[in-house]
Order: sequence, then structure tokens, then C-alpha cells
Amino acid sequence: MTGMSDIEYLLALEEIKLLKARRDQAIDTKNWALYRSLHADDHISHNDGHPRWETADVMIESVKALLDKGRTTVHHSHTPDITFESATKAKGIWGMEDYIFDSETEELLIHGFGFYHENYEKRDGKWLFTWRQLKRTHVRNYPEAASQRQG
Amino acid sequence: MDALSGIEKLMALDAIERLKAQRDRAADTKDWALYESLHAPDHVSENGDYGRWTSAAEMIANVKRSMESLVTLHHSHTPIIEFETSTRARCIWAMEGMSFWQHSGQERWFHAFGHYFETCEKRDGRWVYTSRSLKYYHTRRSPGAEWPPKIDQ
Repeated sequence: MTGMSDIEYLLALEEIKLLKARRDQAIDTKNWALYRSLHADDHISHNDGHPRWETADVMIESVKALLDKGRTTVHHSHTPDITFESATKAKGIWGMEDYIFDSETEELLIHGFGFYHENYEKRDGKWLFTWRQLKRTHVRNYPEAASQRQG
Repeated sequence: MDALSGIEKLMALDAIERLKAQRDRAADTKDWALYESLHAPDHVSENGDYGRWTSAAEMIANVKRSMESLVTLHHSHTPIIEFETSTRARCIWAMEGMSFWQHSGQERWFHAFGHYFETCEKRDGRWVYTSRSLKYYHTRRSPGAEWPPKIDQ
């Protein structure tokens, strides 16, 4: 087992939930310094439709290039399922929904659903993301475009 | 009532919240083995769209059939969980659901807001669902959508 007492488990769980809340807040407010600080240097991201990003620095450059200018985003995460491998290692799955808008025209470009699969490690007393994969269940492209409204 | 200590209550709440996370994920990823494993054999379901099912086996057969050709989204929020005993609880979760399907080559959707009313029990050391009823207070649908839908084969 993990060697954690119940109270240690509950506190670690809260810290991982906070980590997730801050990540979603950082991406939607484009607070890239905060976003970077939540990830280990050797963090790996692997999202549907994108190449693997093998370090946190590559991730941050890629996410900035995709979203920093001209995009307004909403990332909502729900109902975590978190399991601990040890007192300093855990895995989580979160339900997610996102919206991506064109910041200029306000057009809804993407409305998506899926699950984040993530790994976390406690390093130097602080929980960090070490791996993340977004597995999509559905993506709606331009769901409010005129051609769709006729549907 | 056989009282839970503070820590025991927090651990039980966590287990019940994870049960919900797994149920919603099993539904949306169509993992029917996981879905069934979260429910007691004598689980009772009531759902306005589909009627009443009085065992987990009956539920799984019906859920499979009704969800197989849909892309679904089940998101649950802000649980109200109350313990009747240390091994039995009632839960209310706010929910948002969406379903997507194809009809005559076009995407149709159904969008619902409501609450799950559930009971769960700790049996053999593990929390499982013993009943669920879903009540919608608002639904929307794409123009021309029938619900429950007729699906293109």
C-alpha cells in the first residue's frame, strides 16, 4: 500500500485537487508563469491531435503558440478519480469540457469533451504534474456556425 | 446510528465521490464492465426517459442499448451526501448531460440539466450504488431532434 495514514491521504488529495484548479485557472487567464510552476521540468504532455511535448518548457511554448494570442479558452474539470501509488506518486482521471473562442470575432471555434489522464509527483515537498494526456470523447467544431443552426 | 468519526466520514465521502467519478466516466467511455461493477446486484434505477429497472443486470442491458449509438457527456457537480448509517448514504448531485447522434447525416443533440438522487451502501468493505433516479428540470434539443432518439443504423 501507499504507507499513508488517512489524514495524510486526505491532505495529499486536496493538494492534487488544488494543483488541478490552479492549472485550469492558469491556462484560462494565460498566467504562463503559474502554469509552468505547476509542472515538473521533465513533464510530458500528450494530447489528441498534437505531437508529444517532452519537457515542461516545450509544453509551455507550444501552449502559448496555440492559445496566447487571439483565443479565449474555458477549461472545466470535474469529478476526479485519484489513486496513489505511494506517498509521493499518484495518478488521476478528470472529466473535462472546454470551449475555445476567437477573441476578436467571439466565434465559438471548439466545444469539446473528454478525460484528462495525469500523473503527479511530490518533489521537494510540492505536488507537480509529471505527465498529462487528454483523451477526447467528442469535439464540436464551429457548433454555432450558421450551417449548423439549420440542422 | 453507528457514528462515523470525522476522519472516517471524510474517507467515506471521498470514496462516494470517486464512485460518482467512475460512474460518469464509465458511461461516457462506454466501459460497461466498470459501470456494472459500481452497482449492487439489487440496484434500482428510475429515469424518466426509460422507466424503472430493478436489478443491475437489467440496468446494464438497457443502458448499453440506449447509449451505444450516442456520444454522451455526464458532468456531476456539488454533491450533497448524507449518511443514514456508517455504511449507508443518500446523495444528490447537480448534473448536466449532453447526447449527440446522427440523423439523416446531420448531428442532433439533447442537452439536459437536473439532479441525480442516489443511495449507496458499503458492502464487503466497498461503496456501491443501490439506487439512482435522475430528474431533469430543463432540457433543450437541436431543431427536429426526437428524444430518446431514432438512430441511423
